[in-house]
Amino acid sequence: MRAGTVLCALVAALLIGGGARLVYINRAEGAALRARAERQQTARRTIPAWRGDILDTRGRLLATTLRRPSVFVDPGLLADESAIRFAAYQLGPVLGLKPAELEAELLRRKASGTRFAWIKRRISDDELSAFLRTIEVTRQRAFDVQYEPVRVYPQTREERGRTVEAIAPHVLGFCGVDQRPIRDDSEATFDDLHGRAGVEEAWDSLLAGRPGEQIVVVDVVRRPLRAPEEGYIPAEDGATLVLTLDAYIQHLAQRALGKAVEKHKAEWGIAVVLDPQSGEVLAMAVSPAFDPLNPAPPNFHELSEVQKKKVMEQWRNRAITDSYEPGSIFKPFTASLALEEGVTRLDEVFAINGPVRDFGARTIHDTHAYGALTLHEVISKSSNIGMGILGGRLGCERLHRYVRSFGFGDVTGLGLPGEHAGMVLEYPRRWNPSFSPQSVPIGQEIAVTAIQLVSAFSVFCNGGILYRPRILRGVFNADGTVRADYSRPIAIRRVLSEVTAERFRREALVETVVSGTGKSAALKEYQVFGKTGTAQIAHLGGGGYQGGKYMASFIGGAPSDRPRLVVLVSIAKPSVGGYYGGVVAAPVVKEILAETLAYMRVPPELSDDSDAGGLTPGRRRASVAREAGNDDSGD
Amino acid sequence: MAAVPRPRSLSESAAADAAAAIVVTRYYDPTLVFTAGALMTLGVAMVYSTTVTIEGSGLSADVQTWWHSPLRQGVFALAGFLGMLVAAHLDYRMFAWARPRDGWRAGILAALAVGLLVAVLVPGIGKEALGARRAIEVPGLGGLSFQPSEIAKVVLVVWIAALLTRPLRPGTGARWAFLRAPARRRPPLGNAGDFARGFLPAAVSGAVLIGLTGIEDFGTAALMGAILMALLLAGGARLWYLAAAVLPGIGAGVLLVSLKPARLARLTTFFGAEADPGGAGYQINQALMSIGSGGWFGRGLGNGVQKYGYLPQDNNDFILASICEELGVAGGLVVTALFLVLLYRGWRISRAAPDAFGRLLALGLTLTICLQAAFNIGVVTHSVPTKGISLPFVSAGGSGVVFLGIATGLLASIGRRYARVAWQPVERP
Repeated sequence: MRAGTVLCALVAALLIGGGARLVYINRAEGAALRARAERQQTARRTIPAWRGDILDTRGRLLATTLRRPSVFVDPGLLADESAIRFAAYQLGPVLGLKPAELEAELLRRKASGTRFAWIKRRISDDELSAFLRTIEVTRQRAFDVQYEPVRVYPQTREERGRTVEAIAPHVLGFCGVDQRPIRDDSEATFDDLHGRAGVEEAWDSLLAGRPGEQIVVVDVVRRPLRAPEEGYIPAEDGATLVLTLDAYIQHLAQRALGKAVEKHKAEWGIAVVLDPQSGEVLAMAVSPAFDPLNPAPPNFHELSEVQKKKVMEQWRNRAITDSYEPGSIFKPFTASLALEEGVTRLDEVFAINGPVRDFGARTIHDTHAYGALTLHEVISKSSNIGMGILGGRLGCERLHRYVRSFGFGDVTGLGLPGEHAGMVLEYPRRWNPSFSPQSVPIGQEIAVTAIQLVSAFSVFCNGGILYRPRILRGVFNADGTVRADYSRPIAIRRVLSEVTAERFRREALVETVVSGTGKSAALKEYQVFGKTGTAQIAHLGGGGYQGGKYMASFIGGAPSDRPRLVVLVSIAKPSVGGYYGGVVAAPVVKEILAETLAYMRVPPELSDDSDAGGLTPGRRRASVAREAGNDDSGD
Repeated sequence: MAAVPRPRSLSESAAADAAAAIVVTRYYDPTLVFTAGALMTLGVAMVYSTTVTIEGSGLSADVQTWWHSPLRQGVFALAGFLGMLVAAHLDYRMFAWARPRDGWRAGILAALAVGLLVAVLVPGIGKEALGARRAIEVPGLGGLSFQPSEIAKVVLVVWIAALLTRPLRPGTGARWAFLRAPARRRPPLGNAGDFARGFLPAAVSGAVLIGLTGIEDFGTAALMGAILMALLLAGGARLWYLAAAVLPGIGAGVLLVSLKPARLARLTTFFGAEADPGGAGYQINQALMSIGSGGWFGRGLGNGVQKYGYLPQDNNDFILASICEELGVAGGLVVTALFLVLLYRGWRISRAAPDAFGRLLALGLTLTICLQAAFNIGVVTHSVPTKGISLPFVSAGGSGVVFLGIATGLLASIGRRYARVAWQPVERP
């Protein structure tokens, strides 16, 4: 054979060998190689679920989610220092960053060898369009945009970019961020929103929805190329919550409360507005407020523990988390149950002979020296001695039973996180028969929350039934279908008979506003009823009261014929301009009632003072009191 | 069929060639031309598919952007095809050294190649890319450049074929008569059996070309070394001549390997690629993954994923891996089969060539193309160490396509000519 033929045969053998090797590779290792290739070519990507909205009772948007673009860089695609400088000086001005700083940052990232770094998060629309135009013109492949969710509260009033008034931040709470990896294998993360307080926290799983998942084919720098249809699990967007809150009433309550807290230089204040006929919470304001977009100052992690605690205290929804000794606003509950039990009558005359009386184990003081008072006068003038007499008649067992029956000592079931049950002493072990019957009726030895007070007070307004207060009215699925409807009132139990509740409200509570301690809550068009209270503030952990520190409260409602609203305002530690509930809190209630009733278009009860026709018991008493010229304010 | 008596010596062979009437046909081997054309077309498609991922689509009227687009491989392929047709119409014998003073034509080619290989080493002329200075920019053509090593590859074959088939005056070199090959049953194609006058000049001049190429392009140099050995063997060299030549060759190889650490790394990579898939063995691992993920029939043209930055050199040395990913092992086998067809046609042309120069030249060109293909397939399938050898006609780049196209044209030109066979009646017993 000739050498040429041998050589050709050799090369042919090599070629055939190569082809055989191809076949062998595919047969023997094909599956393993395919699996390896698939592993490196695909990435698991989470598809974030859209966090649901929160609406108020009229469908106003209280909280919603937007997606904002954020710019990131792959430093590995920036070839060298000149490319970095070029990019920095081109993109810096576009993104509102200093080019020199951006350049230093890019150099640092490049040196660290990372393939992902945020450049600027949540840029504006203007910045976005300028940025996109720039990277297209300059063919910058190292920079790109990733969208991130942001929680916003559209009812917030802003002036010059600063939050002036956020609506119900303590009720809605706010969202914190969880850092979730963008892809299963990357260190880079985007912010995943999760409720950290209030409604956002309480129904977080409903709002958050369920994130989906997608398997994407990516290039070597992990940029998505395409997404195969298999391996796609769509995200389930979060549900929309409808609250019982009314944003406008909330705004009215916040405004009135804020003004009062400022005026009296108080430490904090709360205002709760409730629909007594259904238990719906219409407003729940806490002052001072905070900005739910920036709940903590940017340097939060550098603060000391004490300062951190102070910041976090601001987030507390004190209307449900803080229980306090109610003081005199507790008197209506004791008095009404004494009526219910038949141990007294509304027109029974008590020999007070004040201002001091010794009840054996403890001495009770009145602010004024009263001689004899009827029961409704005991309430309207807030006589401690009168209540002490009643307490003695009732005894510990009945007192405890009724107090619990009003809902004190139990969480109301509002559903918001951190609700406190208040404190009713354990019966009979902790009740002192020679002490408690005089303390509890005047709102001592007991701690209650604002939400317990308003729901218990509603008993006088709806014929004696305790309703569960509600904040969540309904839930819509993301596709608009109704998921849950909680709009029906939930009656817990009957506490008072209808007659007792009606009479007590119409006579004792109305008289407080007409001629008693709560005159500054009176309105021209509506007959307001209520009760003032000025409680001493107990030291934390017991052991007496803080000297000179008071809780000024007023709990009331209107109109008295068929009450539409119950409002509680409590202002802690007012330091300027008096501290009595009738002076500090009652005007706030009056303001809230006046504006809210007008907003709700409740027909006025009282047309004119001189009109003598169609008198209600309350009005009759009002005219009598005005003639007497009784001008009293007190505990 | 032995109508023309086979010449017994080289001088006789030359005389016989001259005496023999050579038939020139109008039609050159269609199989050869269309096979090369098919490979070029596949190359254009695959280069487009793998390059379009990083550059624009090239579907633009602007010449500047168009020229830097993946479509320019189409221009190269067209140039290569035209070069093939033009070369096919040339008479390959213009480079033959049939008479003692005819060597200057092939000599000019060799000198040109040496000149270009030296020029590329000059920093101002040679263009550096990927750590090697391999290309010379053509002035006035807007960034167009070519690789002298591609020229040297073809020139080596022409020059060695001419040198080995030059007529030796009988009688001279008697001192080395003991080295002369004894008469063989089948006479060799060339004069390499004469150690001093045949083998040595060819080996030395070939080594110069190979050495110059190897400074910047080790893979091509290795291929050229193999082709030189093949030509010497076919030209009549004894095996022990080659053994004597291979020892210095190994020395030169070691020197060239030690010039660049990367070459050593490639060799060590070959023996332990899978142990370190993220490091030096990255490329070959990615190539194997491309082949594996393509399966038998591939993901479909344009649907590959490895080309998105995973597989380095995806449009060049490792384009076969891209073919396997997109067109499957079936596509890879088709490519292999096309080169086998080329090999077969080249072998046929070499056998039928009318003169010794034609036979040796055809053999050399055929082996150059097909051995390069075999090397490339071997690299991609992890059968031989990574060398930096592209797949003929298919890989991206102008020089390879154009000069291999010219080489194929020369092959076709040889195929157009064959010795006239006198008709003889068959004697029946």
